[in-house]
Amino acid sequence: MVLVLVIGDMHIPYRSAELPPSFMKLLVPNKIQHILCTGNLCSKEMHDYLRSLAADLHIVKGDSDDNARLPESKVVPIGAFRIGVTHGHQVVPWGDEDALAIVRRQMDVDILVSGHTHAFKAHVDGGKLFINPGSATGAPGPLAPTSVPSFVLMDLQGTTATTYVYELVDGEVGVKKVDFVKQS
Amino acid sequence: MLPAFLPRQKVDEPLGEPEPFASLAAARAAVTAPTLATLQPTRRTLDERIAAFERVLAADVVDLRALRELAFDGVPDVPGKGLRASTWKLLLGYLPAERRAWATTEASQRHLYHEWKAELMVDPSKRPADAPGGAGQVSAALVAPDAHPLTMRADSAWSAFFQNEELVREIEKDVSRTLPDYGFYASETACGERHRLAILQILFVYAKLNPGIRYVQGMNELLAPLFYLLRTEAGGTGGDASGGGASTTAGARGADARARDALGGGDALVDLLDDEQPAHVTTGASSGAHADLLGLDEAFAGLPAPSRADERAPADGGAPAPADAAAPASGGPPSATEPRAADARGAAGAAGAAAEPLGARGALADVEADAFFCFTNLMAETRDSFCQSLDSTEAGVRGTIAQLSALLAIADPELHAHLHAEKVSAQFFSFRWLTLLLSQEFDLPDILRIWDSFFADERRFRFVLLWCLAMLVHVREVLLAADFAGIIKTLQRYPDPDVAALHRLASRFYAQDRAGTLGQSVPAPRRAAHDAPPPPQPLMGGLAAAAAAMRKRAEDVIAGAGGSAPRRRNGPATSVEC
Repeated sequence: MVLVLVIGDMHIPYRSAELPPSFMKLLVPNKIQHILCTGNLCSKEMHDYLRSLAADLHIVKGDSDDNARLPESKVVPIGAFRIGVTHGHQVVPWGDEDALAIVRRQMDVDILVSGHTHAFKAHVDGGKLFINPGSATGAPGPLAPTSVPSFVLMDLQGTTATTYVYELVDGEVGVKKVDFVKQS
Repeated sequence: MLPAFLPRQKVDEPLGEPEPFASLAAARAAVTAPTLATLQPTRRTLDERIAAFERVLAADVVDLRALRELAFDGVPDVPGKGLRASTWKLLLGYLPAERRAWATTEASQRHLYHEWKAELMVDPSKRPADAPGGAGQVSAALVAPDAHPLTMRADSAWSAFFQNEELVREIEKDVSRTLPDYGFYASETACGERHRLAILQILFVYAKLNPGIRYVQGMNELLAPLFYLLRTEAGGTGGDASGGGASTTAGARGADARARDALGGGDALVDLLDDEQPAHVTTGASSGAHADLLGLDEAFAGLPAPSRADERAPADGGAPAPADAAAPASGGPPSATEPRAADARGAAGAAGAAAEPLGARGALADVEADAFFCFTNLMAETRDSFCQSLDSTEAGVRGTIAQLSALLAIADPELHAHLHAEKVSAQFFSFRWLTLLLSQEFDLPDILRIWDSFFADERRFRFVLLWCLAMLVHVREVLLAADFAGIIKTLQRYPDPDVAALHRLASRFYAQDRAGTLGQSVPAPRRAAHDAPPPPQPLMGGLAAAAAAMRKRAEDVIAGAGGSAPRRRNGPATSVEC
């Protein structure tokens, strides 16, 4: 069993002050093995915070990130899965399923993780999983002035990926679950 | 506790090379005749001892007193008979004395263990197989507040899982350092990995079932010899079931297999070579038994089946019911259409191309359960030394150490005074000795022999104390000449593991302790070692030592208390290996 945290679009300190405290309470070290971050952190403090949760941290560059050393996209193989990570501002129309399917084919991955829209979304297209963890701080996004704070935790076991979605609605953390089995 | 220091070369000595004497008769002939004559009334030959064990074990109700008396002098290491495994199971209270109840006890206990295991190893992500939608938007189902990995509720399955993970990590650190020089537990081989996993699971289940003790470093060192013995003698009860009719040659081949199994270390390589070239081994039965013992069936599965079957044919003709380690797994005589291999390797071989033979795995699971209960029973008697809160009480380890110190003061006041003057507290060296039943001080074959006596001791574990006392007195001259550093160094890496001499001394102390006459005779421990003619190789437990022990025995004050039993029989086929 491998736990993978998928998180991004914090926009700290420009659009948001901090991660919701109820999220920070949930996120503790020694549980998560890998972190995939869709970018737009946008500060070193946030980077250090993520590093404190798990040693294996993969970050891609968002449109608001200053750090030029971050890659535009990244492929991370974990267990039986090839997982692609990209911020998503490069994919137009933003968040479009067909556009993301093209990127997924280019990267040749089983799961494509992208952000930028600040709205959680998980969908399966052509037997492949697409995950958008939304914004962890609920910062104003490019498409809407408000958004629901959310992040995603994936439990990878064999060819099964269980996606847990953590959303902060009215001060309460709600958890939803999406099951996905990789087609051979 | 501390990593085992087990030099490779030492491991070879007791079992590796053919013994210097071709048979026990020759060994006895080497002992001077008058001594032998005096020995005759009390001393039994190996065959007689084996027969005595078989007689006691075959009784409808096993006479535990008689078994204790026999086992105190060591259990003969007869391959295929599993005398020691049966004896330990009885002495540790895993099997009842009624022989008829053995099978049901084993079956029910094994079942119980596997149930516990399944219950304790929580898998929170196991869920009903609701297949996700093929395409399009997948529905995100709301989950209960404690059914996700980051839950903060302490009573949820995920919290239990993370706690278990922590415990497993803790145990794993020690398991990976358990007897690392032995191929049996080596991480390089598949079977080594499986054995490690087995002891990891045993310790895990034990820790979960005994939250008061949980897991303490050192438990792995107690479990490792136990599991090793039960695993290598797994065919024991099965051998009995088939009438114990293992032919001498089959037994000798088993010995060969076991010997190499025990040698560990580089033998993983040897094993692999053997398995790649089965023609190198004289008969299939040998290699079959060998593979079963080592759990290397996968390697066999890769071989072309016909050649294996052909090889086995002569063995099958010779021995109608070859009793080997796989015997419990084999279900009756195979039909003529089945490959011959099935015969020698039991159900394990019948699978042929199957990647993981069920028979071998079943046997390993059974052994794991047996080892768990034996370990639990052993811990029931020694766990006070593992309990930190008892440390400073009389029942705790410090109380035991104080007892040892007191014994030393009685038995050898001069040495006690010297240790005291040098400010060497007994706990500097004896903590490890007593908690781990000396499993760190000697090599595995010697540990098995010593533990025979420890388990056979009816005043368990008084004999361990006296054995420790013997270890001190045995090197008294070295200790008396040494300062603090020298003493600690000597005792932490015991310099002269002459198990036979130590056992003699310890047995004498034991008898004196029982009679209340401890300390009334001056210890003269090193006499024995100097009198004996130097053997061709400095064997520490082989026949040469046994021969010396037999001679010395005549001078011992205790009638019936024994020296080291010869480790195994010499057979014509023992020297198959190059």
